[in-house]
Amino acid sequence: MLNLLRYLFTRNAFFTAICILLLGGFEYLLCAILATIDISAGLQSILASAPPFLRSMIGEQFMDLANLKVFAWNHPVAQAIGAALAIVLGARAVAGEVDNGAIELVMSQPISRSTYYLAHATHGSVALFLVSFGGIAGTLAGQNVYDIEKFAVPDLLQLGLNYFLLQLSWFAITLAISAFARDSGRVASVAFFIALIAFIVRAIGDLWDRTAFLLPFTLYNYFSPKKILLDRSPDLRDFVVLAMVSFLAMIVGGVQFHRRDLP
Amino acid sequence: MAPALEVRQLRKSFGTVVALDDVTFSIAPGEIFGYLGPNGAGKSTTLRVIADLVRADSGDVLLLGASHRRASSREAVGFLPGELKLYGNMSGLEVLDLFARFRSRRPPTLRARLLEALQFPKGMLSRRIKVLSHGTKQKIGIVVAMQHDPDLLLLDEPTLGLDPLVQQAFREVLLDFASRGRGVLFSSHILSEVEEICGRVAILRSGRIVAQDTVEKLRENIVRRVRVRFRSAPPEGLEKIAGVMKATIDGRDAELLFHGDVNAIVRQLAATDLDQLVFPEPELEDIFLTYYRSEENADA
Repeated sequence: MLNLLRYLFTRNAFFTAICILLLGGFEYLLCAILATIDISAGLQSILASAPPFLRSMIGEQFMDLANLKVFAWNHPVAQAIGAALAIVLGARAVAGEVDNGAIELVMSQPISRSTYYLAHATHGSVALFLVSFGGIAGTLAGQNVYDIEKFAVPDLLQLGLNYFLLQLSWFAITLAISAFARDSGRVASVAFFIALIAFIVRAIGDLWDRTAFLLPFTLYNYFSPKKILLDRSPDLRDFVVLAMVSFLAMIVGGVQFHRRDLP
Repeated sequence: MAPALEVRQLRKSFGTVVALDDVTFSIAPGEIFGYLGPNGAGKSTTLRVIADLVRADSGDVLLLGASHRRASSREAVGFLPGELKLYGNMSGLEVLDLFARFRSRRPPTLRARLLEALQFPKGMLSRRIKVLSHGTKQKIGIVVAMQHDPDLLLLDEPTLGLDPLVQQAFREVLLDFASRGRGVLFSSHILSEVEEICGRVAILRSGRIVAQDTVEKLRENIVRRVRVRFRSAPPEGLEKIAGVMKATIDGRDAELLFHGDVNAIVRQLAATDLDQLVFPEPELEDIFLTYYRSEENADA
């Protein structure tokens, strides 16, 4: 197990490090932007000439600094970085190893399938944890360096955990798909498509009341920086739902990996 | 002493295609067992089932007395897949170390000897796998399979991509390996190399073992050849001689494939005007022909 983990961390170290730097850098950069540019004023002047429904839909979340900082975590770039790592690691885990052919030699070693699968699951979880808290470190550094309105550290840690669980869900879903497949490219495409649809459903559901009934069906609905940072009333159900999805998807993938033929 | 490998009544289907049907054999310690068959016969599937990569529909496999489903049973087993793929971005040495670490209780004691015996080019170990030739990758695969001095070795077309000199060196390594009590399952479609090193052979066809015996025993019950040169044109009706299955005539030369008592054919040929009569040593190609023919007859 340790040998496998060492191999997996070495293999994916560069990509993981890039994701940590990108997310941490993005959150830091947004703090820098918010500290130096009066975005709220600019947006207000633009929205003044916009139709009323548009003002009501997107106006509120950009009107003050705290809302803008929260938006930095809902921003598509922040979501894309975590999802990219989650999907790539999940796709590489089983289908990727089948794809490159090395799984045949690896699985003929004295390693059980459970150990192999668990090593991939552990590696993915640790990598996503590092990226999530790399992002939190970026926010912390940014709000301290630029001395803008500060969120409390415990709140930021909860946000980090929420973000981690969201990305862990994408990783687990991709891993489950990967356990059924032989082509990592196809696995990544399917997982990306599912994540994209979920993101769009969340965006539409938030903006258009008539589609709000779809919100419980998208994982992004359970990622709530606003509840954690602004309302300071995190919903435990969000954490539980994401953890359960991750757990169930990993179980499904594990069962399939255990029974499938390799390669 | 328990067999190094015991395979009992393996059956495996992929959809409606039966890949293995009632495959049963065993390998004793110190034995090199040949597993012969053309491409698609089921050789690789058998090895994958033994290595627990492919799950059989039914049947048992015991590796050194333990179920192949237990990961620990593979501690003393080496495996070389037929379609060897290694991590392209790692160096040869990193690959050898990675696989050596999977067996903490069996250090890679044979590595240096194997690299020398296989004439592994110096300096190549530090180069990335993806820039190495097919033959060099195959040598790394062989070292991965054997460096921990396994008690049982599973080889799927191991000499693929090796030049003839290295093939010969590899066969000597295997003979030495078996002489120390290690069992070897040697899968191949190259009959001459199996004939050279294997004591017993199983012949696989369409997922079924059609023959299993020592090379010598199989030779006794096979289609044989006789090459005849006549002083004048060959007489007509050679193919009608009792036991002759096929007669190929080329000028004054004829090659007869026959089955059964050699005396009958000699008596018939003695009545003709002969220049030469040669009975070549039977080869495994002939064994193949025999069993494939009998299977076809059975099918018909």
